[in-house]
Amino acid sequence: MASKLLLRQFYKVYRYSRWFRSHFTFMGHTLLIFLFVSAAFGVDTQATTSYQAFTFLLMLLILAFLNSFLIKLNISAKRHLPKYFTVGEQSHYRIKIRNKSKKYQNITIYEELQTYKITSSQINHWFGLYLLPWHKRVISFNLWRKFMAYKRGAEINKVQLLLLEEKKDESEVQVEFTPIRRGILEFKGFYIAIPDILGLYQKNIFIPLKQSCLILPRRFPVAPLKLEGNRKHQSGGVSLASSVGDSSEFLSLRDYRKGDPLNSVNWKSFARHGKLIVKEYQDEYFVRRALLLDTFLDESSNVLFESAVSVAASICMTQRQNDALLDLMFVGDKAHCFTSGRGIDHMPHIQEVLACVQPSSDSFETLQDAIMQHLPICSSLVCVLMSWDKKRQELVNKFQINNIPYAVFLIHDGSLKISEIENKPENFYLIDHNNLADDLGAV
Amino acid sequence: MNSRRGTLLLSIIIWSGFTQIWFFGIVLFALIAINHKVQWRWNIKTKQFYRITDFCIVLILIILSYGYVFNTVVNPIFTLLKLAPLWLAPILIAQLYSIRTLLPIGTLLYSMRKASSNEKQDIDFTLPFSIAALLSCASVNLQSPIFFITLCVILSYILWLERPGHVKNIMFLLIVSIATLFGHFSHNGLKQLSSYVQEIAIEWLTGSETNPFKTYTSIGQVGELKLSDKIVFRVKSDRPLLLHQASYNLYFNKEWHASETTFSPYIQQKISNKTKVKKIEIYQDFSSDIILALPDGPTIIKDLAPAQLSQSKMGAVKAVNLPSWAHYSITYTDIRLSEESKFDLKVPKQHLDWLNQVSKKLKLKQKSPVQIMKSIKAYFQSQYFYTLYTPKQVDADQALIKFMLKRKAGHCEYFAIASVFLLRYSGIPARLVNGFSVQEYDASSDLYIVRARHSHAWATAKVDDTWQALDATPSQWLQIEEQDSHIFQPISDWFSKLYFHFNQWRLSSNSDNKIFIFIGLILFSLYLLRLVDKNKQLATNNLTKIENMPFCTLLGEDSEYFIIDSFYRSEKQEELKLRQNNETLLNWVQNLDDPQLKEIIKLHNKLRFDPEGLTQEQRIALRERVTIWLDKKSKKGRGDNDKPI
Repeated sequence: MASKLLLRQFYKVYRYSRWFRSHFTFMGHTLLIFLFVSAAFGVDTQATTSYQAFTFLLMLLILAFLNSFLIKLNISAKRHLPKYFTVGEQSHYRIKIRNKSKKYQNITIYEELQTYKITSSQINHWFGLYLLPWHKRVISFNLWRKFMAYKRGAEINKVQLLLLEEKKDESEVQVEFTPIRRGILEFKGFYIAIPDILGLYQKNIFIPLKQSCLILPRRFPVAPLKLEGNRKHQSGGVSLASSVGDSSEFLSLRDYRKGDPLNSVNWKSFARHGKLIVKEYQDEYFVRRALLLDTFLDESSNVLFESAVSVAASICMTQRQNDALLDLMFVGDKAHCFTSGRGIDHMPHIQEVLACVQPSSDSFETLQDAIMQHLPICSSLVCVLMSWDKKRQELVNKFQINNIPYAVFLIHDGSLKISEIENKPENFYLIDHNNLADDLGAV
Repeated sequence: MNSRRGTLLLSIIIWSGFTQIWFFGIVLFALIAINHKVQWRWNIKTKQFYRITDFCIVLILIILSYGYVFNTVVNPIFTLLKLAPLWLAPILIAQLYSIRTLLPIGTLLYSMRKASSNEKQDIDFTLPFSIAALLSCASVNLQSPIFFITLCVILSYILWLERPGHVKNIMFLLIVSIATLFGHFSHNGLKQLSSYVQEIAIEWLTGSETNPFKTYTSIGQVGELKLSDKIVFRVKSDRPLLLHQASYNLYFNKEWHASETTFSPYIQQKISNKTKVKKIEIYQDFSSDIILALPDGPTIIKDLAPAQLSQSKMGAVKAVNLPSWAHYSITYTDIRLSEESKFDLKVPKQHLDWLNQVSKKLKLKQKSPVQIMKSIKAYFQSQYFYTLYTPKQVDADQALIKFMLKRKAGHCEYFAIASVFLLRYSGIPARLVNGFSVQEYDASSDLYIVRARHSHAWATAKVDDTWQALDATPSQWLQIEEQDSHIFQPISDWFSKLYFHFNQWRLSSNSDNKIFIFIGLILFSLYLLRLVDKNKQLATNNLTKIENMPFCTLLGEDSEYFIIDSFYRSEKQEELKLRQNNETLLNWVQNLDDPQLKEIIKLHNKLRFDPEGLTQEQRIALRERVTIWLDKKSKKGRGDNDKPI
């Protein structure tokens, strides 16, 4: 209850400070600060004459505010937004604006992203506050603001437009921004801030323009893993490698035998030869690698999870082999398996999936069961784990018992040392989440 | 930028002119004026800018500590305003003489130091500095239109420089003129309002100040009358006593007034050697002009410089231009002499009934003045009770009548006024006195403590040509007041004592000691700043910050080719054509006719864009080729330089 009230106050402070920042120009802010200073020193009118400065500054700011009512703007706009961006990578897109009113100068354009309701438990989990002693579990305004920025999804720079031409065809502005989290980034619209005559107060005009794009996880170079897995029989061939079915890879034509399914009859050959000829299929054998992503936070922080997703995305990107399939397996609300490679699906789709994957509240056994069912068709396995506890070690042991080559990437917070890890398998990589690029590069 | 520099220089001249601080003004002027002529610049990093702000805070602390420790000025806060350009100068100089040319916003706003990168922006500090310099001219306190006119002209010019492009000049002039006009009228109004509010606030809100000409009694007011436990001053005296502030002789319209309202300069009285004098010492801090609380018959008031004292005929002593804290002594005769006035015997008609009754009861008509005084005091002490509570709000006259005949309980004002009327009814000139009762002895400091709640009222009667105090309030009033003291009183007393000892030391210790303490204070402030900084660092280290998360690295970002790229950009050699923004590396290198570079770029492209990347051997080859290429270029560069001209 108290934390709810606190967060509400934080939101109010945030809203007020945002209002001030968006409604006053640099000179406006300067005069506002000096207004308070002159008021503080001017309380005693006998001691200084700063009360004279106070009245003049106050009048200027009041008139600036009143002037802003004279500003009228009629525009239409279109945002050219690419489909994908990557977390942490500075990117840009364009907005085309058609001004139907008079010309304005020194205007500022800034985007408005979707805001989300934040709860104290979200902040606690994100910053791992619950891991700290009770007296340090304080949600400060700074933490709240950081989490708010994170939820919003991107840091978008304000664009200064020197001139918005009068009734001109179109003006184009380039907006630079840096996504700070994975997932869908939702744009509500943008504001155009036009300064008043004195250049102190800005009228903020909202242009609604809803749009969204997808932010993909960060990816780092990883050398291809040399896991010597045998080719496995893939029931149904490539086309249905990822689904249930009975089809096979085409081999040759032969005479019809009793029991052959009618849909395998080649009707053209039947017309040509006058007898039933069927298509013969051969079962396929190829390499199929599974990528196992640990989505169970347990005592790990969200930052660790983000790093695990990044590692998974990096492996997906760099472990491409034209003749192999890659299955991404993880547990969200239920166990999921997404397959790509050999023309089945494209890599961006796997990246899209990884962009939206969230920590699971399910039990680890769900993933264990899913992977054990999948094991017979897997040539090799890559596990991205966030801890090295007993149940994870047991799972890995099962791979060894089934004689399947595998590699383990263990993401940690910098507290572990490779020499201290017990029961580590042959291909075991310790990845420090603060040093992802270097640690993955060293694999 | 030139016009901004011009404004800056102009504001510094104005500031120097107003404050007469010419030396620093000239130095700052010269530093700004030669800025664009001098080529060298410091490479100041963001954190170093922050340290400069910290240094400015230290400067502020030095100015304040110096002002308070050495007691050089009445109010060091106004000195701070006066010297604003001095303590802001390091920030301005850092901006002007840095490569960056602008100031990171975190330098001025501490909260922005941890803001996200898109919120952080660089600002130009020249105009805010100009406005600060103009505002600091206000500390000179020239109560003439010159400051207002200067401020309006310069500030309007600054706004004109910064106005948006679409603004018409005529509109701008119109708006600024309106602001000036309204500003002028409102600052005059504000001054009057401020004086009025100050007067009201002193009388009604604080309750600790005394109007020597008029007093509003709390008689008849509903609820509990309770003054604060705040320590107002400390007194060194050999006995408890009453300190007089003001006396009132005229009761009119339910208010007490002083018939003599003029003040004349206070003259220290010369006394003969035979006269027996006593002495008290008072330790007091002052926030504004006050009426001094003095014992009867003050002759010499010492150690209150630079205060100016003035005195009314009715014995009130007003002090203006007081220091922030003083330890002053008063020599007194304990005999109050003052001329009697025609109002000193007047009794309001509405009170004659109860006066007649009480007078008969006490048989006052048959007694001498001294006996009358004793009888009145004994009557109130034995028959009446002290209380701060009044159950029902009534008219002041009605309340007094009810107090005398029915309720027989009230606070000091009831007793004092009733005594004054009884004395007057008996033919003795009498007045109402406001002041303090000095009773609470603090053995640890050997001083009497006087709190706001010790504010007291009593009667004074002229007997044998001297005014003698008659305090008829039952003696339990001090205990009742003390019982109601606030739960946090010991804490506030402790702080007050600390402040008292600090001030005592400040005024008494020698200058060598002060210098050591002054240096100690500065070092301690620096230590605190460092400690705060360190604690914050520790606190943030405990949490995993979003900013610390590594950003996306591109494939081949560590390619050695980028050394060549930076070489091209840093070496502005004409034959080395810079690549256009949209030009691919291969297209660019073809025009350069450099087969070695072409090979390097091929390897670089493979590293950057081929999913297979480079083999170990190819990677080594790329590194070696880049080294060879760079060696060759640098040798060529040196060879060109060695050529005879």
